[in-house]
Amino acid sequence: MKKEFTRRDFLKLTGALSGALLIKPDAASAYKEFSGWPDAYGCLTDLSECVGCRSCEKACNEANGLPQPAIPFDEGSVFNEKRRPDARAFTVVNRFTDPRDPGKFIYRKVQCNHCNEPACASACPIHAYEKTPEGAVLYDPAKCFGCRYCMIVCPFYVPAYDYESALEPKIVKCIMCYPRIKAGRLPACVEACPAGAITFGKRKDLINLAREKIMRNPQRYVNHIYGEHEAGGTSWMYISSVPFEYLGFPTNIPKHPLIEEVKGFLGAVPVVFTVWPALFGMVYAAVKHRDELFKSEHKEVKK
Amino acid sequence: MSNHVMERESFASWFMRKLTLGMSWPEYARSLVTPFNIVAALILIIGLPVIATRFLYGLASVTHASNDYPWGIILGWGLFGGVPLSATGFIMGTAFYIFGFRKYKPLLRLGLLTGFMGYFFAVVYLLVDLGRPWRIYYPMIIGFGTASVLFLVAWHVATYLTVQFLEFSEAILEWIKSRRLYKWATMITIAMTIAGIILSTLHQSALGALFLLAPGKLHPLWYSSYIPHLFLSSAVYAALVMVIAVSFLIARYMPHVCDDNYLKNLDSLTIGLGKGAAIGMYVYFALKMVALAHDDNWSLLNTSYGYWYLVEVIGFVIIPALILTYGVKKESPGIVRFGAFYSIAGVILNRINVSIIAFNWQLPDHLHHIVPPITEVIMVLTIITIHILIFRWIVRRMPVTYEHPDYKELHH
Amino acid sequence: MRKTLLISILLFFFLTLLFYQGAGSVSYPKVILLNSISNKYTAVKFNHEKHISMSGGCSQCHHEHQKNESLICKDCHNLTPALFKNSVHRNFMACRNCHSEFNPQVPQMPDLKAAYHRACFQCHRGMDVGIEPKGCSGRCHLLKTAKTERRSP
Repeated sequence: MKKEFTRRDFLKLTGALSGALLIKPDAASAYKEFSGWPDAYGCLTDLSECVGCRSCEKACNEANGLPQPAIPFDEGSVFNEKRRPDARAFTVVNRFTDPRDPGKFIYRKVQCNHCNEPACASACPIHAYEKTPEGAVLYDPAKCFGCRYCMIVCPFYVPAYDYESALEPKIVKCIMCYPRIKAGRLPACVEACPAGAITFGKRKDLINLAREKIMRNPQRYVNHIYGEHEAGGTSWMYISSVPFEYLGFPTNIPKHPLIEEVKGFLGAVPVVFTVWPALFGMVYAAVKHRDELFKSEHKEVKK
Repeated sequence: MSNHVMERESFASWFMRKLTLGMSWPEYARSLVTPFNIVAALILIIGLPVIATRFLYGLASVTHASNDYPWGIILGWGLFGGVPLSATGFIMGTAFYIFGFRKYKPLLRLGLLTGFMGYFFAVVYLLVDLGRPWRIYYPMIIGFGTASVLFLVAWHVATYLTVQFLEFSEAILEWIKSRRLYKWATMITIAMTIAGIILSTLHQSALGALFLLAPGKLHPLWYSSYIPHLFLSSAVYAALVMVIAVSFLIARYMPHVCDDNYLKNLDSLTIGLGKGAAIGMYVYFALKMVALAHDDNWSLLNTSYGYWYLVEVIGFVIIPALILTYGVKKESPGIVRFGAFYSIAGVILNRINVSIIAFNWQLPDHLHHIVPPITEVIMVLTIITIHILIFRWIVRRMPVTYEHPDYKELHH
Repeated sequence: MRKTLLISILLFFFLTLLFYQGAGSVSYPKVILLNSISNKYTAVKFNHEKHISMSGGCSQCHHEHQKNESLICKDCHNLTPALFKNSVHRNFMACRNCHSEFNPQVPQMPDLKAAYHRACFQCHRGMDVGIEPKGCSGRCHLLKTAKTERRSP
């Protein structure tokens, strides 16, 4: 005898089906978004602690086997002009006058900020950049052909090029001491900082730490963690006692990863590849068809 | 008939005849001593050692080689300025083969050649500027930066260069009189033209899209989500005015390589192209205004960069467009030609603005930094000279501005 | 092995107590010789007494009970007056007991070097450090020689 399919059975079945679908409610509906590796490391520079001793520069220089600087590390005259990371230095410290007290100085260490979604990596046509799960953004000189587009797009003016070399020029930038991190050690500059101005840790912990510091000392810090959202977030972040624009930080950077700006354009590429041949092929066919009609009409007229 | 001639003649003498335009060597050498060639030779004598220095001692030896300004005038002029003016191949090919503008036939090959040479030299400029130019093929084989607009540009320029070569190969094959290959070349014309449309629209706009990744660095009056559209739409009119300019220069200075069909029709074709160019410029201007309104940047017009923006948009888009319109209305090829040269300057100005003047506008002492060193200017001048010399070499030999009598009946 | 050696050299802090003198109910060392990294720098003669008279009290540098509430550690580690007294008078609780090697798992805890320097910098910054990088070696840390500067592994 054939069993009748009752309303009850129907409800059971639909319940089971929807149950199966609901096992992981977020899996199907979640908007695919990558906002950085979850366990990425990072650094938090507390600019109010930095005393401008350049120990970080020296340690970086030694750890990465860079050439000796033109101005020795204990020379204060280096602060007379603003420097930027270049082919001989992954990191530099610049001096700014304290806007609250012109007699005092504030120092800012500059190095690669190791974006969560680095513009340099999005820009590289040869995939010479890699954002590691540890947070460091690495660059492979074996792949690079030297277009320097990464330097064009970096919102923080970090990648440098060793223009001096004729045969093996390459991009030069901080790698967050990736080999040291892998070995469980601290980045060289972090280890060297006498003031503990740079804290190394998991990025998410550092954000909490920064919030905590700001919350507990609202007089001391401006309420802004630079790098929490800038360019979609960076592994290297900063807290400061004065607004960041006074310290030469670019403050007109979008809060989203810069690749977002290009996604629309890149998305149009396959459309062009598929629609254009159809469209222009049709125009060609139409024009040809009209020509043929015209010719045959002419023939008829002649007859 | 021509095949018979070829068989009777030895290859060496045939080859020599092709090179020396049928003259004897002393005759040919004497024909080369012209004021233009002397100036060109002087530029090459100074410039080639500078380019050699760049390769022997690195970019730092002869360019401004700055970390804040990775791209200078070599790319600003050669790549960003050169590529829109090389849209001639794609525009003329599309107009002739797809849309059926048959009357522009005398200018078709000139457009193709201008485009091909323009792209070829854009790559030359790139090779001079790249840190390791011998790795230029790396985006094709070594690593695929699929999210990179420059990856797209690299692939499209490489492919399009090939497409343009195939499109122009008809002329080369007529020149060396290869009937069999010629047949093959003509068979793929339509496919190549459509491929050219795809690749051109994409990489012309991609050159603009390159700057989408640099918000904050490019001045907001030039930075716009519309920048790919702006680059593409200005390339369309740039191609038309470029054809007007080049066709005029050849008719003026090399009339002996033009056939009657070319010389007789040039004036009316110039006016036709000028009409198209003027419409293209109004479309471009409208898009510019849409971009301005979209980002609500009106208030920025009353700043020093705003004035410069107005110089570009009014002085170098609207005014030349009006001149073109006036020339078309008056049916004066002279006015249209003047407008065309003016418009070309406008296109170059726009690309220089985007890639150099409005880029890094916030950096201190910016306008001082963008002044190129003399050696960089010499390199650009040298490459321009080589470009013109090779262009002239081809036009003097191959059927570009005249129809090869043996092939006339085969032409579409 | 090398790592632990380096850390122990860097962090192990000998406090040579030269004098004890009772001043009222609190006794404290007058001059302390800081020489834990004496292979790199000459020892620092730290005039403890002078600093006491110039600073606003012990809590300027030491974690005193009920002071400096902004410290994160105080959320859990309650420092009672009794504990504090004991740590000062009986068995001195060395800084390195807590401020040892930096641990990325506990990023809020500065390591010994940072803790010491921060204590000094809060007043000395602008006086001699933070104007010239040379300020450090000119004032407190006299570099021994260039040769001893780099430790061999």
